[in-house]
Amino acid sequence: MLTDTEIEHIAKLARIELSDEMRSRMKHDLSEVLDYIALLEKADTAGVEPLYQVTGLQNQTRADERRGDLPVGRQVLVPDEKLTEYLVGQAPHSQGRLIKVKSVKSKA
Amino acid sequence: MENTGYTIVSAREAFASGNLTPERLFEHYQRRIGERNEELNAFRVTDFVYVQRELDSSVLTGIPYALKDNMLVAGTVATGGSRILEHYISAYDSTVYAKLNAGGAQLLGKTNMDEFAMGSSGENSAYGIVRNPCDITRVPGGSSAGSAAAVAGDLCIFALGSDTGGSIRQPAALCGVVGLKPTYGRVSRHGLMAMASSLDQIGPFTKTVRDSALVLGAIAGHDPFDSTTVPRDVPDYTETIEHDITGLRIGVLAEHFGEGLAPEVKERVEEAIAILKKRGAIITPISLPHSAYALAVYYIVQPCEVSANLSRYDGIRYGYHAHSAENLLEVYTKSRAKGFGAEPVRRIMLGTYALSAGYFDAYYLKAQKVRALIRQDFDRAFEKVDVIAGPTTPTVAFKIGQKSDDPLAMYLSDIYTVPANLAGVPAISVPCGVGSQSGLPVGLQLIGDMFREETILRAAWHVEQGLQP
Repeated sequence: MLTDTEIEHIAKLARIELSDEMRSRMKHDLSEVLDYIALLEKADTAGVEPLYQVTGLQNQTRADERRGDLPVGRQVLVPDEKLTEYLVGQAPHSQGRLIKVKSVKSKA
Repeated sequence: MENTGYTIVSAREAFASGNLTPERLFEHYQRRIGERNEELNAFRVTDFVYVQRELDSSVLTGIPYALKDNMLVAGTVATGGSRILEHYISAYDSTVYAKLNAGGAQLLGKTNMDEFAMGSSGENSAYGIVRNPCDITRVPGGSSAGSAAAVAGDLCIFALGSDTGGSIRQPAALCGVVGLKPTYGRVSRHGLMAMASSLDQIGPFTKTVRDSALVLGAIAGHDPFDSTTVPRDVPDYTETIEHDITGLRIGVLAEHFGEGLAPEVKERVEEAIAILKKRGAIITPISLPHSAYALAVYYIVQPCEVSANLSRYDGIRYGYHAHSAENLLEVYTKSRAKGFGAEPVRRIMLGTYALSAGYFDAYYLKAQKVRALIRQDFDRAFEKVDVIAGPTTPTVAFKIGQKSDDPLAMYLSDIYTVPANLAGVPAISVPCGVGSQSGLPVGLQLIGDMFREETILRAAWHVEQGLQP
């Protein structure tokens, strides 16, 4: 069973504020899943290399030249006003082409 | 359940005979949505307009379809089933949409889904639960709940979903439609909201196996915008679909017929395998010895990748923003607390814990090692057989609310589907009748070797044909 301190620590790392109700719910749910996952201890993995991806593709680079043909049907992204509106205009606080963020410190 | 309404093949025949036009078909499906969506809640957005197109040789011209709401269409809302993206407007097109659009297909709408594709029941959407068209007191499965319900309820001809641990195959089985998860790397995920990047794959929901082959052919292929796509030719998947299956080696997976499998599901699946045998396939028992660990591996790897992928939703650039925050840290913590539902929070926290200092070796590294063993099991199995057959789900569709308070019980509904995602291999769920007790659809899962979609489509087609009255 995870402790309250552990749950608080995980929530802090995950940048999620937990209500009292969510804290006790997560404590229960996470502990239950972790108990289930513990069955992996029984698997013998001595000398086994981890599998992080399945295709075997590595370093997918493209030729260092101007790309002429874009895939069929693709909209070409041109940095016009519309794109700026989609990319910056959706920020809750913005000024011109810039996104505004809160101060790192609380106001006094 | 009998599939009703148009398929790609029958709509094309109707176009060719002059009895139907793409515009009338589009209006027909808008009406269907108007009649049934309030009850099913399969569609979230349906305000896409009809685009007049020349009827040409392209197989999807004028075919109305739906996209899961985690795939982007430039200039339109994409929520991923989450409140945190309630008003989010996509800045670009997903590759699958671009390809279908270029192929002439007509978008009808975006479908409801479990939040950020996390869930096995369609009950985790910020926009209300989705209902199973076969029985509206039951779940359609998830996470591509709306896509499955839309095809099963004949609100569209086909739909795309995404499958990370079963999110296409499981709802397809519970709703009685065909659901295909292609090989990892076969279909571009550019413009798909990333959930678990080493597992996610896009695939079609259709009413028939032939339609599944047609849609796969239209969306598969290498994409310079997704470096995990494999540069490999895309075959005509319909070409070999009717080929004889005499001598096709089918392995029946012992581990998926054990404890937890409902007798009525077992019965139908065994009958479907008997059809394959009758049609000339060679049936052999087979074992994937590490499959007992698959779900545990999945619930480490998937939450770890989720915790990284969902860190982008922070209330700064787009999406839900907590205006009450006093400083930057509070913007993050309060926006994420309000913006995410319980399931994403659960998985983000699980992944954060597994990746936190001191736990990496015990969880993530251990899981990826066992994942390698699971893949080896498949490699060995595919030396002996061409297809692995078994049930898609342990039970038929369960009641709404039955598992929503018990995450572990919910996770267990994906026990037969997760191994294919961990190994990257393709798998299809094809309807094989209804359970003798419940009268609800049962799905047969056919798993193939890497890039052998043709083989599983062919086997699935023979099951479908063998079940025709």
